[in-house]
Amino acid sequence: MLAKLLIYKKRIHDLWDSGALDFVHSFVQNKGAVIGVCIIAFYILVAIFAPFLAPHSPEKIFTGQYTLPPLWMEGGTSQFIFGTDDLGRCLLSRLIFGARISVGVGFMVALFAFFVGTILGLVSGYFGGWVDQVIMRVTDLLMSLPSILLSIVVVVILGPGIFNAVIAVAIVKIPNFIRLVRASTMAEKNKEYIVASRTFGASHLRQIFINIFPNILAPLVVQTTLTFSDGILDIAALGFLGLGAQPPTPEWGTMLSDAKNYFIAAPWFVIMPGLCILFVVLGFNLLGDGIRDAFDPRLKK
Amino acid sequence: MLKYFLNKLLLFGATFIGISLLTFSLVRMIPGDPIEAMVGERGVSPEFRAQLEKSFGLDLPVHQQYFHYLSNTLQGDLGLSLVSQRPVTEEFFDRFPATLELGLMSLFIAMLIGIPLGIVAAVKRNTVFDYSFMGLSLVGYSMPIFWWGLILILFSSINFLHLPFLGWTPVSGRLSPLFEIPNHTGFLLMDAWFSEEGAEAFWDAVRHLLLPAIAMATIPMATISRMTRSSLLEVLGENYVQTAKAKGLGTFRVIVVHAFRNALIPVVTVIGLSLGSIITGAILTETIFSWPGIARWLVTSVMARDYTVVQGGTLLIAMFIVSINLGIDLLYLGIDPKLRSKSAG
Repeated sequence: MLAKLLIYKKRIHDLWDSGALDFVHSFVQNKGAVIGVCIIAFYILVAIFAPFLAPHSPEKIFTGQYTLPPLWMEGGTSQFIFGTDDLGRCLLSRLIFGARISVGVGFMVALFAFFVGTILGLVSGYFGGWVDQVIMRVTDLLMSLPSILLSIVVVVILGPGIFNAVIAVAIVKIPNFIRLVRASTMAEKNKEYIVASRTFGASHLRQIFINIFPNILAPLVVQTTLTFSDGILDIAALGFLGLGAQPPTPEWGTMLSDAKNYFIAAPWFVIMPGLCILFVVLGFNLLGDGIRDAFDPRLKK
Repeated sequence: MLKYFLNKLLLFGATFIGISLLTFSLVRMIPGDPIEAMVGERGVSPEFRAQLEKSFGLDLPVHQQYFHYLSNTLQGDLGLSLVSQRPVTEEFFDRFPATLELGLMSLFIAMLIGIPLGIVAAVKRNTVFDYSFMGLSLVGYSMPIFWWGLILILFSSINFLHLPFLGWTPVSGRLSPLFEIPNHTGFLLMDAWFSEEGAEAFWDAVRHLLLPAIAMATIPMATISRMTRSSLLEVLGENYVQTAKAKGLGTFRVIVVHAFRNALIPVVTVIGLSLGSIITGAILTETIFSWPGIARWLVTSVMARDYTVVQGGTLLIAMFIVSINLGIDLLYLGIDPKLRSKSAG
């Protein structure tokens, strides 16, 4: 029994010495990254347990109790801790349920852009030639338009709504992935292990997905994290312009576009949803920075 | 050298064709009917409709429509706005100075704050200054710009906390209706300065410009300060900086004259990129502050299904961005002698 435990201990030490845990080590030492992870964990927990945390249903209207101030201001009640919105709905409950939407759309945008962008980038970088030319020219074109403008046009084509907004935002994020993956793939594909694998008769599919892909993951993870935060921001912006989630969905951007009409009467109604967006985006940006620094050998001193 | 120029020029032409094709097809994918967008929902008699379609060339096959559009565009004619019936180019260049003025002002603010923050953070590395400045710029970078604009209005214009030194920045527009400024350049600050009202109108214009410019400056400020910091940190470790220190030069001289100048190239790149993304920032900022620029004009046109404006305006904006990028490339050629010899060979 003891011998077995000692073997495990030895294994963990070996793992540590081999440098495989270097990443975890330098990541945990980065205070910003840890704060980022905590923020994100908080948001995810709130999103998961929203029905248990929210005091009211996010869509329930309390007639007569419009734009009540929050608890700590004059006229606030403990029934509505953050007050109510213009239709008499509990603001806190709407913010809590909003976490589901924002974290969800951020995830979908990042996943979609990652999936499409990575495949196109791998194909473009690995095969080169005319395939590469076509993909890169289209990428350049998409990048020469302001991304938010392109998203707006795509949403108008598809029709407003949260899913169409996700597609529109993801489309404009794809070029970033293509460029990044293509550059890393081109750097990787002429290395000796790839050439060696080719002499053993590895198929293109094997080369791309089993040999190259795992070795270009580091910058890709950073890009995906940053796309998460960008996606949340852009979806909220579309919601603010009335093109994203439609009422009564408690999406933070949509709530803000509602709130701006009650500026003077209900300033907290403007401040709260924005703070929610700010912190979740900050969390992902901190995480992305932390991962990048942990991967960066120049900073390891 | 000449080959490099020709290459760039060729790429510019190809991008132009590509973007015109892209905007042309995107606009045709927008659901709805341009004739209906123009005459309203009541509709028109079939004969009049056919006449209208013919006059806009909508009865032609799509590829002919595109060539028609391309040849008109090359002659500087982007068609008439369906809503205002004015030429798209005229509407664009009426509004463009407003956006450019806002954008340049915001970049100026971003540099004014971002560069010193970055320098201090690099020099005082791993101190409270470093952490708080870099934390601050990350918060600025994470801010939803439309919310930040609203917050600025809330605290500064409406001044709902009733602070004595705030409340003098207007909420929207470029100028109070009190002033009658003749339009010469479209850049209101300049026009106001040289008008009869002079300084008074100028300060009014500045007051209007300040909040939207701050809102728009936040993201470039964050990127500029981060880039200044990391670029300066790299340079500070170099031997010539050590030499300068060893010679007994003052800290200020070492940092500003020796280190910062060499750290400048990545910073200039970031500023150039920010110039290209003016429009992106302007889309939300102009909407919130009712700034009469091209970005807000484009957004309202998309919503109103003003097809010709969306098509022409997007094309002009994209060409503006591509031109800036081309300009930056050529500028590097001037700055970096290594690049020059490479492109010549």
